[in-house]
Amino acid sequence: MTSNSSMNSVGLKRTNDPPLLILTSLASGPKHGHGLTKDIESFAGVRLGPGTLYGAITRLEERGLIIPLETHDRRRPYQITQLGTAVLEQTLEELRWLAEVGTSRLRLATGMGT
Amino acid sequence: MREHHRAPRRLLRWYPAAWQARYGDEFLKLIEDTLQSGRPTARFRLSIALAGLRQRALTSGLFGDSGPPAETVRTGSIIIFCAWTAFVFAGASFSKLSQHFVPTIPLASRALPVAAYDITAACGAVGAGLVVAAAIIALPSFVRLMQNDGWNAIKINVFRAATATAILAVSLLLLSFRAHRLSPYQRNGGDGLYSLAFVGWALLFAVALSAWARTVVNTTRRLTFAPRTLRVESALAQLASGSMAAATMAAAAWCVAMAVGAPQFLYGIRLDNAAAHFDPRLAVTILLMLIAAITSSYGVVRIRAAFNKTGNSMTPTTPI
Repeated sequence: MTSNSSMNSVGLKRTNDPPLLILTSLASGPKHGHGLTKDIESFAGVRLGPGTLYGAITRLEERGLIIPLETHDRRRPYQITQLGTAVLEQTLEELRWLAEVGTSRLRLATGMGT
Repeated sequence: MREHHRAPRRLLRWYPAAWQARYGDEFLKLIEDTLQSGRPTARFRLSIALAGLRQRALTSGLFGDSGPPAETVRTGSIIIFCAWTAFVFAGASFSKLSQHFVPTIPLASRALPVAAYDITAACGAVGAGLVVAAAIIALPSFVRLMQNDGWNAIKINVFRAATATAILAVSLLLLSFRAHRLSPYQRNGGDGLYSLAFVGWALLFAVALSAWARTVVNTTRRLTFAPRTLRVESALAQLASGSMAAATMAAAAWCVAMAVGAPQFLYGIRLDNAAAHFDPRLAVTILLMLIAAITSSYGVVRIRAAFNKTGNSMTPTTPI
């Protein structure tokens, strides 16, 4: 949380792309809207409003990355598809690569500066 | 209490009907879970409204690539039509402001401004002809809409537009009656009351034009077009966009030619020999033309993108 605040204070934000957060949340199992909101808040510190959440759910479903399951008490859970898992893996791999490049360059710059 | 329960449901109105049918119930449940018996704050309502409008824009193909290509083509054509409506207003203003310009230019410098003016007028006429042709081609779809109870969906728009037009017509009669009793000097800024009334009438003209444009847009969104008809309609819309661009360039060229050949006309030397001052109305008019032309270009971009995506496999449009 502290690191997030310090990043926001200089204009940098953590990865808070709603579709990515939703896919990440669904990677641990199906969840409905409210479950997704709480889970995303717990692991990413980002609270998605209903409009943002369902906007992203709509796009993910249209692209076949998630599928709806049976409704319980008007709450409809969503499940990540094989395609969604593949897209998530690829995106995380790209982020990992970016993090590695950034970290190594930062180390290099810090080493040169001292 | 009943009002309290209705509040979340009312938020759904911002979303398109098809979206409401698919996600509405679960979305409402999420809102109820989020609010936990509390009332939605203004900020919460605003966020839902913006998300709903964004969804509407995506569904209609206003931006993004998630909407059906046929809807994107239709929306692109509607954007061009809306731009054309603004262009009509700008064109009327240009026509009024450029009245009697020929005698103010020395004979030797007349060729360029006269040619630019004629091209502007010709492009405007071509654009109007294209819009009329598009309306004629859409007539069978319109008749089918009326036969399928479509009148109920658009009657409120038609009544509003007709009322605005009736008020416009009556005010024009009153204005003409007053104008006949004034001297040319009084009609051209010398009579404050008449000038104010004319500005009011111009605003009323814009309101009536907007009301009819809204009626056409609401009707067009409900029409079902076969792929071939849609292709022809979108081609006419793109040509209309071209005519707007050409007219804007010609009008700008006219301004430049007048600034060189008869600057006193642009600086509005008044008939009472008061100090010359720059008249901003012409600049505002050209700016409005430019905005309309740029907006219509966006419509062309949307249409081209949809056709590039689908090639010839466009599906018919469905009412949205």
